[in-house]
Amino acid sequence: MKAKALPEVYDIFDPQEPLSGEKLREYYVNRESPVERLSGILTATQKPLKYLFVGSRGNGKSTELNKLSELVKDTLLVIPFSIRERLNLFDVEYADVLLVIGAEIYEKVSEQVELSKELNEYLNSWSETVVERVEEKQKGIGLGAGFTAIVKLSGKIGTQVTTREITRDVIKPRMSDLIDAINKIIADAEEKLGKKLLVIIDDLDKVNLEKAEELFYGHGAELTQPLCKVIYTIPQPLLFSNKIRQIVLQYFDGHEVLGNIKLHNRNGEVSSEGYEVIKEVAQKRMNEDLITEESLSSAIEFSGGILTEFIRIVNNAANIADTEGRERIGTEDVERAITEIRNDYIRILSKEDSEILKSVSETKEKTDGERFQNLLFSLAILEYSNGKIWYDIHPTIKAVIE
Amino acid sequence: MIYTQQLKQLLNELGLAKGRNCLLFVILDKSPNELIAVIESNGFTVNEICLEGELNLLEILTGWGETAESSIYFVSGISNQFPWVLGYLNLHRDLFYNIKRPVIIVGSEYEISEIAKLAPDFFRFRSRTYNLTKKRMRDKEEKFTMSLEKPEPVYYSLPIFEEEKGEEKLKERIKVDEYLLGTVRDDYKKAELYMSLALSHFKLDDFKKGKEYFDKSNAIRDKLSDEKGVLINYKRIADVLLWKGHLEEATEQYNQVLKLNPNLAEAYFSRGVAYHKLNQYERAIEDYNRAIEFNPEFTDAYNGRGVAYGEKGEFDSAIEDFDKAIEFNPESVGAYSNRGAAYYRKGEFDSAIEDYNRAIEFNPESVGAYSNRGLAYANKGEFDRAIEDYNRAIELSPNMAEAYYNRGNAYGEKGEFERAIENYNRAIEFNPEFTDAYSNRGVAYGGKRDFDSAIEDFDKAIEFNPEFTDAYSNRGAAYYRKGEFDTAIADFNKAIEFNPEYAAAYSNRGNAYAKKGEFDRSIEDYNKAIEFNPEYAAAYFNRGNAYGEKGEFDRSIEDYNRAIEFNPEYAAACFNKGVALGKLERHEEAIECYDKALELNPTDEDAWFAKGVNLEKLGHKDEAEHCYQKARELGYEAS
Repeated sequence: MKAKALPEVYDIFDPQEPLSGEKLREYYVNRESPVERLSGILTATQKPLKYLFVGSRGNGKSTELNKLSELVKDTLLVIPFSIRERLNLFDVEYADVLLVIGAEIYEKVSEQVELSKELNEYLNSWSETVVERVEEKQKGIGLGAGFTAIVKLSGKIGTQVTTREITRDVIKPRMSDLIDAINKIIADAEEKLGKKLLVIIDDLDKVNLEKAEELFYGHGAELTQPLCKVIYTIPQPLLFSNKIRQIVLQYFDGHEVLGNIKLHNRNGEVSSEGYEVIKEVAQKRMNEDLITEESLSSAIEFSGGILTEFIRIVNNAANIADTEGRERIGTEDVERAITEIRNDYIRILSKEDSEILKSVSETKEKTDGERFQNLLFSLAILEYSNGKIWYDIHPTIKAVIE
Repeated sequence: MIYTQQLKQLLNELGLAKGRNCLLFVILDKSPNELIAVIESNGFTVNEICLEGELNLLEILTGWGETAESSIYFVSGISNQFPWVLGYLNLHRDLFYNIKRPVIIVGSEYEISEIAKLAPDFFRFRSRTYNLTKKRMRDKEEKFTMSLEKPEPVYYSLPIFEEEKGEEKLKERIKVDEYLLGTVRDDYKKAELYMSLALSHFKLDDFKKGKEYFDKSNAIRDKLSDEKGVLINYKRIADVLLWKGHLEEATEQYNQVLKLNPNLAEAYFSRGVAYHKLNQYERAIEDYNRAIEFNPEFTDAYNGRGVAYGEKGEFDSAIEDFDKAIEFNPESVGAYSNRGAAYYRKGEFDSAIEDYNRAIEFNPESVGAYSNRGLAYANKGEFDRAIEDYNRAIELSPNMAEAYYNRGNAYGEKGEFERAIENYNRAIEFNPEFTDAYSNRGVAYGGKRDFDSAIEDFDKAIEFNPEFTDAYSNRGAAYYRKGEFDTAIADFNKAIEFNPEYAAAYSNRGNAYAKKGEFDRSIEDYNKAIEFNPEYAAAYFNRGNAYGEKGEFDRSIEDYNRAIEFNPEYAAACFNKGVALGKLERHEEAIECYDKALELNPTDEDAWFAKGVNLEKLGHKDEAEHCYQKARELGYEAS
C-alpha cells in the first residue's frame, strides 16, 4: 500500500527490516546490482559454484539476496538462512557453520522429497555415533535419533555454550564424514528433484574481522566442500589485505560487490540513475504530494546512496512535519532530520578520524589501517563502484570536515 | 520541562509509533523523572526498566503483549551493564523487531555514544536519537566539535556478589567479552574487559586463567598510571575470592588493597568478613572496628561486629552493636534478627520476641525470624504459639529440617507424641544425620511406651555421636521400662562417664539398682543425684522408697517430706509417706497424708483403701467401712 498521509509515511518507511515476500514484490526497485548477473551465472551451469557476496552495512544486501532467490527459484531449490538466527555471532567456528549447512539442507530437502532408503540408513548410523558421543558428555540433552537429531543439535549450539563446545569436540574429528553425509544428501536430492540446490548464507558479514579470517582464511577449504552452489556473505575488510585476499579467493569461484547506490561519479558529477532509483523507492511507497521535490532531492542527496539512511531521513522528516501540523514534508523537515543524523556521526568521531576523513573526501581513495576500516564499518565512509572501487565520506558530515 | 522542538517531536513520534516497533535513543543529562511525567501526561503508559545486575532487557521486553497499546518502554541505567549488554544487544537486535511497542533507551551523551560505537548494528535499528540536554537547548546553532580521542578512565560496575546464574551464562559472558576485546581500541576499556574476563573465570573456578587476565588488566593499568584502577582490580579479585569461599587468599588480596589505600572502610569490612568466616573473631572485630572508624555509619560493620561478639558469647556488646546498626538502618531485618538471637542467648525471651516481631514486620518471609521466634515462645512454655511460628517457617521453607525438629519438640512438650514423631520423621528425611532428631524421637516413642522403637533411635543417635550423654541416659531409661535393668545400668554408667554431674542419670541408675533389690547401691546413687541437684524431688522420693524397703521408715519419711517440699503436688510422695507412717503405727498422721493424696487425686482407690485400714486400726469401724466402700466403687481390688 502507498502512504496517503504523513502518519502512513512514518509507518511504511521503517529503517529496520529488509524487504521480503509481499513487501518485496510491492516496493522493490531495481538498482545497480550484481544480482541479475549472478542469477544468470548460477542457473547457466551445473557446477557447484561458490560465490562471495560483499557490501556495506545497511545498503540492502539482504534485500538483494532475497531478490536473487526470487529470480532463480524456478530453476534452483533455494535454501536461504541467516547465521545470526542459527548461530552466535560472537562465537562461531567453521564446524558450526557446516553443521548448520547440513541441517538446513536436510530439512528443506526432506520437505520436498523422500530421500533414498540407503541414504537414510547411512545417515541414521552416522548420526547415532555422533549423538552417542554428545550425550556422553551432556546427559539428558534429548536429541532423539536419526539425522533429525543432528538437526536438533544444530538448533541448540546457537544458544548454549556448553553444547556448542561439546559438539565441536565431537564433530571436528568427524568433519570429513559430515561433509560426506551432506554431499550424499545433496546428490540424492538433486537427482530426485531434477533441480540443483543453492544455499545462501546471510549475515556471515556481521562477524568481526578476527572471526572472519578464521573462517574464510583458516578454513575456507572445509567451508567450500559441500557439493552444491553456495553464496556466502562476508565482511568487507576481509578483502582489504592483499595476502588474505589471495588466499580467500582461491577457494571461491568469484565474488560480487554490492556497491552503494551512486549519486555522484567519482569526479563529483551527478549521476542521475542513482537519483532515479531512490526516487522510485519513494514513489512506490508514498504519494507524490506528500513531499516537495526539493526536499526529496535533499533527502536523497544526504542519504549517500544508502537506502536505510534514506528511509530513516524520510521517516524522521515525516514525524517532524507532522508535529508541526503540516501535511507535507518540506525542506526544513528534511534539514532537521539530516542534522540529527549528522550529530549521531559527530558523536562517535574524534579528531584523529577527521584526518582520514579529509583525505578520503579529497582523494576518493582508501587509506590503510584499522581506523579506516572502522570508519567504513560505521558508515562514516562509504564505498562505491563503477568497475573500480572508490570511497567518499558520508554526505551529512561533509560540511563538518571541510 | 520546556517543550523544545525535540520534545514535541518525540511526543509526536510516540503517537505515530503506537502499537508498533520503534527504537529511540534519548540523551538526557539529568534524572528522567520529569520526562517520564511529561510522556505520561500526554496519554502514554510508561513502563520503566532500570537496568542493573543480571536483569535481562530482552527477557523483560518479551512481555510486551501484556501491556496496553498506549504503552511505551523506558529503559535507563544501561551503563550499569556495560560492556556485556552492548555485545548482547548487538547480537540479538532482531528480537527487537518483534516487540510491538516503542522502546526509549535513555542515557548520557557518553552512554549513547558507547552504544553507537560498540553496538553499531543495534544502533542502526533506531528511528532517531533525541537530545534533550540543557546544552542542546542553549545552542540555537549546532556547534560541531569533535573531541580529541583522549582516553578517559572508565570503570564498569562488574557485579560480583550476584546469584549464581550458572556456567552457561558465565561462558556466554566470556564470549561476549572476548569479542568486544577485538573491537575496542581504548586501553581503559581493554583493562576493564580483561578484568571482566578475570572475574568470569574465577567464578568458573578457573583460577589460572583468571589470574592471567587479572595480570593483563593490571599491566595496562600500570602503563596508564591508573592507580585507582589497580586498587579497584585488587578489590574485585578479593571480593570474588571471598564470595567463592577462598578466605585465606581473599584476606591476602585485601591486604594488598589496604596497602594501596589504608582508609578504605569497605576493604576492612570485607576482610573482617573473611576472618569472621574463618572463625577468627578477634581479628574480625579489629577489622570491623577500623571499618567503623573510617565510616561511622557503616551499618553492615556494626552488624558484623555484633555477630562476632555473639560468637564469643559477649552478648551485651553484641546487643550494643545491633542497636547501632538499627539506628543507622531502622529497617534492617538482619540487625533485628541478630539482636533477637542475642537476647535469646541471654534468656531474655520477651525482648527476643519483640525483635523477631520487628524483623518479620520488615520482611514477612523471613524464615529464620519465624523459626527463632518459635524457639523463644517454646522456652517460655507457650508451645502453641511456638508451633504457629514453626508452621509459618515450614510454609516458607518446606525442606527446613530444623523447623520440623523444633516443631516436634514443641509437640513433645505438649505430650502429643504422635505428632512429635511425625515431625522428627520429616526432619530426618531432610537431614538423615540429624542426631538430635533421632534422640528426641526416641524420647517421643518412650512417651508412647514404644520402648523398642525408642531404643532404635537412641542407638542411631549414639552412632552419630558416640558421646551423646542424653541419648545414653534416655536409652537406659527405655531399657529400665522394659525391665532390662543390667543393660539400663550400663547405659547410665556411660552417661555418667561423659557427664559426671548428671543428676538424672544417677537417679535413674538408682532406680535400676532398687529394682534389682540392691537398695544400698541405689541409695548411694540417689545421694549423688541430690548432691548435684539439691532440689531433685524425684530423687528424694526414690531414696525414701529405698529406705522404706530397708525398713528405715524414719529416714523414708524425712525424704518424702523433702520431696513434697520441692514438689508440693507430689501425690505419690504423700501416699508413700502415709504407708511409712502406717508402718510406724502413727495412724493419725498417716490418715492426714492419705487425705492430702486424695485432695490431689480424688479417685485414687488405693488411697481410699489405705485410709480405711488406718481408720480401722484406730477403731473407727464405720468410717473405715465408708472408705472401703469408696475404694471398691473406684475399682479397688485386693492384691
